[in-house]
Amino acid sequence: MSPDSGYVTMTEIAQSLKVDRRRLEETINSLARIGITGKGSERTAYTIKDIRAKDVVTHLMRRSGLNVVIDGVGNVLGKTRAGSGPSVMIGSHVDTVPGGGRFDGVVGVASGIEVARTIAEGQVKLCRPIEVCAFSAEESSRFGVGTLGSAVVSGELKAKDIAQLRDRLGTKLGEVLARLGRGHDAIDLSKRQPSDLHAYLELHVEQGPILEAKKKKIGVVSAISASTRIRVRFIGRADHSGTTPMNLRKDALVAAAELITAVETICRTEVKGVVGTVGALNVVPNAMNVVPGTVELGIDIRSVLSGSKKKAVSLVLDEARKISERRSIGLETEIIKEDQPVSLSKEITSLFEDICKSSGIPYMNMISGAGHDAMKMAAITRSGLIFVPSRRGLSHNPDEWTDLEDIEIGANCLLQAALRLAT
Amino acid sequence: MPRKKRILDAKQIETLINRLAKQILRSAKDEKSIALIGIKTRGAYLSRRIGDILAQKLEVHHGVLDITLYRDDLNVLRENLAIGESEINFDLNRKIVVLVDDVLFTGRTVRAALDQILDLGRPAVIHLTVLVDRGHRELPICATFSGKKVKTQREDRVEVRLKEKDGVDEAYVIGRS
Repeated sequence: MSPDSGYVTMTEIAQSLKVDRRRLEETINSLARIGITGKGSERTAYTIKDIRAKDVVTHLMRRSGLNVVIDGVGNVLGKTRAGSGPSVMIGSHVDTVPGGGRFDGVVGVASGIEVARTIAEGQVKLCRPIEVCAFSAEESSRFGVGTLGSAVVSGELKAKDIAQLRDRLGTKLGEVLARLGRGHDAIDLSKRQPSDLHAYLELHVEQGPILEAKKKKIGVVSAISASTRIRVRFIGRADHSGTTPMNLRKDALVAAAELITAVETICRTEVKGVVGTVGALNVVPNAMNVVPGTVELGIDIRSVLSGSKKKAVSLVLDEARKISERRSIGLETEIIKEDQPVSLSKEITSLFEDICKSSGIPYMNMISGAGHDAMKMAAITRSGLIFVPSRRGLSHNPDEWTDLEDIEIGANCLLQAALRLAT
Repeated sequence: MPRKKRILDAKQIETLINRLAKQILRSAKDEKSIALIGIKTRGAYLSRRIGDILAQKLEVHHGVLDITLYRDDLNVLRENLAIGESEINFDLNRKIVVLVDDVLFTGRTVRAALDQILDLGRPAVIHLTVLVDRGHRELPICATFSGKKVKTQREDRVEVRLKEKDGVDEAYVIGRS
C-alpha cells in the first residue's frame, strides 16, 4: 500500500500477482499427455500429435480470452485484447524429439498461457498487449532445421528456404503446410516486423545439470551458443585383417580415433569456453575381419564466443590434416553448418535478475548450450530467456523431470517480467 | 437401383428433438448449466436445436467438434484431408457435457470425440445423444439418449438431412440394392 494515499496502487497489485500452480500443472499435463508412449512423448513437428497439441493450445488460449491466430507455418499466436501497440511476446514450443520428455517446450507455452490468465484475473491495466506463442518445429528431428517457426517469424527463413525441406520419408515441408491449408504466401506473411514487438520472453527447462548442481532455481541466460558442424572423412584402404601386416596398413578408423581424442583435448584444455563432440561415426565396410577403409566423422563444436569457436574449428581441421599426412591416408573435410552465437538483451537479462533479487530467488547467470526460439527472436526484438532446473540434467529423454515448484517459480518470474514490460 | 426407405420426416424429427431435449433436461434437473457439443457437420446443427430448447431452462454452452485429427484410421496426414476447426470456447472442466451426433453406427466417431474432449478438459460427465441409432457397433459405446433405433444391414447407409445444411428435415436408410 502507498504510505501517503492509503490506496493500493496498480503497481502493488501487479507485484502481488502470482500464477495459479494447480492450473499451471493442469495445463502442462493437458499438453504433455498428448502423444505419450512407453518411450516418452512423441509429438514430432507437423504430425497429427503435434497438431492435436496445438489445437489444445488454441483452445486454452481462447478460453483465457486471447485472440488466436495461426500463421503460415502453424505458429499459434494468442494476443490479449487489452493493450495496444507492439506486443510483449512469451513463447516456446510443443513439438518434441522422438522419445522426448514432458517438459521441454511445454513448460514455456503453458507458463505463457498462465501468465495471460493471471493478468486477466488480476484486472491489471495493460499498456501493451501480451502475445503468447507456440512456435512450430523447434526441434530439428523431422526436417533437419530447428527453431523453424521462430526463424520464419524473425524473417531469417523464407518460404523458398523451407518449402523444399524433406523429412526421412521424402515428404516436403511445403506439401505438409499446404495440407494444413498454408500456402507459400502465408509462410512469408508470418514474418513479424521489429515494430510489432516490444520484447520476447521465454521460460525453458535447462536441459543440463548446472542449476541442480549449484542449487539455483533460475538460470538467467545471457547468450546462446552456436555450433559449427564439420564432416571429416579419412580415406585409407580396406585390407584383410589377417594378412595385412601392421606397418603396411592404412587404417582409417585409427586415424579417426586420434582425431576424436584431439577434439576432446582441444575443447577441454587448448581453447576456453567451447564444447566439442564427435557424435557420429560411419565406418566402411564396418566388418570385424576388414581393416577400416573409410571413416566419416560428424563433429559438433559449440560456443557463445565466435572467436573461440573459430579457433577450435581451425585447430581440429589442422589436427585432421596432420593425422592424414602422418598416416599417408586421404582426407576430405566439409563445414556443413556454421551458426553465429547470439547475445540476449542485456536489458531483459537485468530485468530478470532484478526480479529474482527482489523476490529472494536463488539465481545464476548462464549461457545456453542448446538452441532456443529466443535466439531467433533476438534478431527482431529484445529477447530474454530463463531456465528452471532439470533433474540430473536429463532432457530429450522420457525421464526428463522438473519439479512443479520450480516451474511455478519460473512462471512467476515470467509474469513479473511481462507485467513490467507491458504495464 | 438402391433401396431407399424414409425413416423420419420433418414432423417426426421435430418430435424427436423435443423428446431428446426433455430427456436431457430431466437428467440435468439439478444443474444450472450444461454444455452441448455437436459433432460436425449435422451433429452440430442438431446440438444447436436441442440447445435452443434447453436454453429456456438452463444456461447452455455450445461447442462444435471436428474429429478429423482423432480418427483411428489416420496415422499420417494424407493429401486432401480437410482438417476443420473445433470451437469450444468455454472451460470443459467439471461440466455436464452432452455430445450430440445425427447417427450412431460403429461408435468410432464417438470414441474420437471422447478422446478429443478429454484432451481439452475433464468434464464431470459426458452423455451421448443421437437422433438415429442404427446398430452395428464396433466399440463398446451406447447412447444415453437416442431418438430412434433403426434395424439396418451392415452395408446400408443412413442419411439424415437437416434444414440448415440440406434444406429439408428427413432421414433415409439406403440399401445397396
